[in-house]
Amino acid sequence: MTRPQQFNPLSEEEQELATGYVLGDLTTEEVTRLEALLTENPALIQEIHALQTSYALMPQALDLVEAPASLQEKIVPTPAVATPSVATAPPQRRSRRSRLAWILTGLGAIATLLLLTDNLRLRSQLRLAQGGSPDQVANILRQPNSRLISLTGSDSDAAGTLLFTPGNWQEVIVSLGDLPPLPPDEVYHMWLQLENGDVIYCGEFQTGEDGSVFVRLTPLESPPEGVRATELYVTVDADEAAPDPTGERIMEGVI
Amino acid sequence: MAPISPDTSDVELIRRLRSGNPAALALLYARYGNLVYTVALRILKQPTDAEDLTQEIFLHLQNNEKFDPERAALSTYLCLLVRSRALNRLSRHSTHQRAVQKLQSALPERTTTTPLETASLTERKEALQQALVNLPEQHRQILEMNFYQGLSHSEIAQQLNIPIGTVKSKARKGLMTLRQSLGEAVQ
Repeated sequence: MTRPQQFNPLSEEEQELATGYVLGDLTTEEVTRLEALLTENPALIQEIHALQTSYALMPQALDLVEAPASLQEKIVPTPAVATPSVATAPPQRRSRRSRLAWILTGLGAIATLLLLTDNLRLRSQLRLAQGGSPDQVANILRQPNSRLISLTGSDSDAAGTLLFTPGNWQEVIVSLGDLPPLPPDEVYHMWLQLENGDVIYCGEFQTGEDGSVFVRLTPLESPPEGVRATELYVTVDADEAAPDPTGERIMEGVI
Repeated sequence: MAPISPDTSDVELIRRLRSGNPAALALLYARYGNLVYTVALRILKQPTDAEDLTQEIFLHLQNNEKFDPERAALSTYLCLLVRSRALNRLSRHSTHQRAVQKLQSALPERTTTTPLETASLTERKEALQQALVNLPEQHRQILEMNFYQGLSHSEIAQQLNIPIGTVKSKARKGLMTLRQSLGEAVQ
């Protein structure tokens, strides 16, 4: 094959170390040597990138296996998505009321998509749920006005969702990932911020080793009638301490 | 919601997906659903597990704001993500590999896509298949055991009943040859 020097003017040792680096099989001495060489020859970084790309692209040589059609339906429900411009295009002359109904239908379709997309994952994770059951998730998913709220890390890559039914705050399903791991004596707390400034405690949870959690929370309080919930957030406290809604926010989500 | 052309770039589709356009997800799935499923199936073996992981990957794609399609090819990202998560499910990410990943994260990241990654899926597949065919059989076998099964050199040595030094040498030579075959297409 070919003349290596045509593509990378590196010494044999440099090529050897770069390849071992990408494969993760360098000895401690080789790592030290490579680090020294990297400072002397920036082209080595470029070669490592080329090797990483070559390695990463390997699966794209596979003959593709067609995924089951049912999988596509779970990820991308056809009626809501495949032909959005046709399915949702309103006639030109509509009353304001029917236009509003159309918009709400469209939003409902998007919500359905999100719910359906999460459905299998939520169900599969039920095996790990702390106190949740398939029926409880199914009950919420069956509600036509069920909502998914997105939560993101304030200073981290943490992300996830909270599933609930408006008007029924007694039961919510939380699925979060990439949360910073906590020491055993600390826990996460979830809070619901109301528009009148009050805060409702929703419950506590801990993550698995991978920083993810799937849990059903059953808040003891609900927002008073007529008072809108505006925000969800997560704090962290010592396990023994009383939950503090004013603690540092680890994750947040707007309702 | 405005229709999306099938020719829309990955970068634009990701942008629209993040702005809440479900049609973007449909197109992304049409483009990469089979690829993700194929890699998941190759590693996990069980179709139900592969389906579940494929769904997880596309859910992640919707929720993950971190991935920057301007700096990395979506297909490469998806393949690495599905491999990583599949191996995690098989508990095949060794401590050593995790340590290496940490080291690698200290290197400056590539900030552009390569010519091969911007080629069509068909062109890319043909180039890669040709490059892999060029490898001596056992070199390719060792690379694939490492990639798809997450096996360490010592585990591969045990399975193939050959010295670990031979595995290490053939893995390195295999990857070096693969990279040389792909040449400027991966630079």
